[in-house]
This record gives sequence, structure tokens and C-alpha cells, in this order.
Amino acid sequence: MTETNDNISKDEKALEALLAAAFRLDFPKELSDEQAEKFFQQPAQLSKEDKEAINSWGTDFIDKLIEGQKTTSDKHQQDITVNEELVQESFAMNRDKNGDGLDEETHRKIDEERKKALEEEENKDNNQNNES
Amino acid sequence: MANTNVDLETIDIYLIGDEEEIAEGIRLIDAHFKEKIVEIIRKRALSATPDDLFDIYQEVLLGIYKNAQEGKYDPGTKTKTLMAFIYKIASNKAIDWLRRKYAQKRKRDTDQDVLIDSVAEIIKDSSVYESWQNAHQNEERAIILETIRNLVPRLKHRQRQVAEIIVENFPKLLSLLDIKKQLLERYGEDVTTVAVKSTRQEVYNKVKEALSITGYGEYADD
Repeated sequence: MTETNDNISKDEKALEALLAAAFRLDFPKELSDEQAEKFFQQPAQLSKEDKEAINSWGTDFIDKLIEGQKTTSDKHQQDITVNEELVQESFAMNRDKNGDGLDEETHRKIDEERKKALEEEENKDNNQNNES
Repeated sequence: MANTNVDLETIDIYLIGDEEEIAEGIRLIDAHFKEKIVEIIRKRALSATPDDLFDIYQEVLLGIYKNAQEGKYDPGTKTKTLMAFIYKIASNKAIDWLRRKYAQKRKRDTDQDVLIDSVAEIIKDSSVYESWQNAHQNEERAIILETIRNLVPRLKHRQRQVAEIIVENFPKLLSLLDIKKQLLERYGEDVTTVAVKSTRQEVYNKVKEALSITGYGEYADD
């Protein structure tokens, strides 16, 4: 081959032109059904390096990938649920404060009386059981 | 055969089903067509690293999932067969990747006429011309180009990078120093000029091999 000043011969230029033609001019983005079927029936033409890479991927990523796709809708749903819970809690808090109109000290005394009453009831039950 | 024992009709049915069924269809596509999908990607994205390949592959599966979810996959009516459908999505995702990579360098889809003229002009001045003309007459030019597309992706990573630089810059023909500079700019790899020369030679050898395999191999004994 004859070398030119930039060290690329005419034939090497032609090889580059063929390379460019292969990847930029005559490379279909779509195939007909028949062409696609024929293509998929051929064994994959991959380097050893690419095959090793593929084997290392596993299959776990698919669920994560699809889950990622669903994240928006799930998160949206989650937000709605959380908001509903907050609203319910808010309603409950409002009921506590406004429903009976009693202050904290009064609630504490009521709770103490309830406990005493329950203990007395339990003691009565125990005594009756012992007597019988 | 890439799709051994796969029931294409089953995948078709899954892809027109609900979300869980579509997901199952995606799993089957991954199980049966992974290598072929990666081959489609690799032929477009020559310089893609294994991580890049994985990213693009996931985009392909997600593309299939979204299309199916939106009811765009409907074999026999709206769309082609499953294989043509997968090919199209994989091809487009790889082209998207390449466009992002070379976005500032050229308008890929608007210079086809210039490219055709350039290829013809350059080949005309070389000893490839006669073979190329014969191939054209025999309608075998497409086979030569397809063979090049099958061989070049099987080169080593550095060689694929150089091939991609040559392809993406064509019709501008780059000197060794230009390629060396682009290897550094694009891939962050500082390679000696001697190494660039031998790498480029390996790319040339693959193109020659394609000519030889298809019966136009006057370069076989160079």
C-alpha cells in the first residue's frame, strides 16, 4: 500500500470508508418480521469479554428495574395512605381535646380512680374464689 | 439458536396482560434473548464498556415494559412480531446512547448524502474499488457490510474505541495523533502513538477479513 503524507494509504482510507458505510449508511434501525426472525435464530456474535459481562448480571436486577418503574405510583399511593392516617390521628387528637373539655390533671385523677376500682374488683373476685 | 424452546406466543400473551404478566414476559425475554439483545446494542455502541452495556440493556427491557404497559405492543395489529419489536427498541436505545456520547460532534441523521458521496469517492481511488463495484453488481454489498458489522464488535475494547472514533468522524479521516487525542478526550485513555497505530491496524484487518470472508479478499494475503 502506498503511504500518503498523513500515513493513511488510499486503501486504508477505503477500509475506513467501508467501516463507516457499515455502521452509518447501511444499518437498519428496524427489521421486517422475516429478517428479525432470521436474526434471532442465529447464535449471538459476541466477544468473550461481553459474554462474561452478561453472565455476571444475574436476574435479580429485573425485579428491581420493574419495581423502580412502579415506584412513582406506589409512592403516590403510600403518600395518600400516610396522609389519611395523619388526618385520622388529627381527628382523634381533636376529639380528645374538645370532646370532654377536661384538663390533664382531671384525666390523671380519673385514671387513678379507674385503676383503684379495677383493683378492688379483682380483689373481690379473688376473695370469692378463695372462699369457694 | 438464541431462543431455544421459548414459546413466543406465551411471551406475546404476557406482554398484553396486566403489570405482573408483563413483568413475567420481561423475565422470559431476559432469559431467552439477552445475548441477542446485547449483540444489537454492541453493534451500535462499539465503545460501550460492560457497565454501559448493562445500562443500555436495562433501558431496553424498561422500554419493552413501558411499551407493553401503554398497550403499544399488540402483535398482529399495531406492531410487528415480538422479535422485530425487540430489535427496534434495542436498536433505538443503543442509538440514543451513541447520540448522547457524540451529541456535539455531528448531526448523525442529516449527513447521509454527504456520507454516500464520500464513501464512493474514497473507494474509487483505491484497489477496493473493483471488488466493491463487483459486489454492487452482484447485490452483495450489503453482505460485506453486514459481515463488517458482525466482526468489528468482536474486537478488543481499545480496538472498538478506535473503530468508533473512525466511524463517528467519517468523512473526516483522522491521523494517528487525532485518534490518540480523541482516545484521551473521549475515554480518558492516554495511549502511545505506536499503540494507536497497531490498534488501528487491527481494525483495518477486521475489515479486510470481512472482505475476504465474503469473497472479495484480495487483502487476505497482505
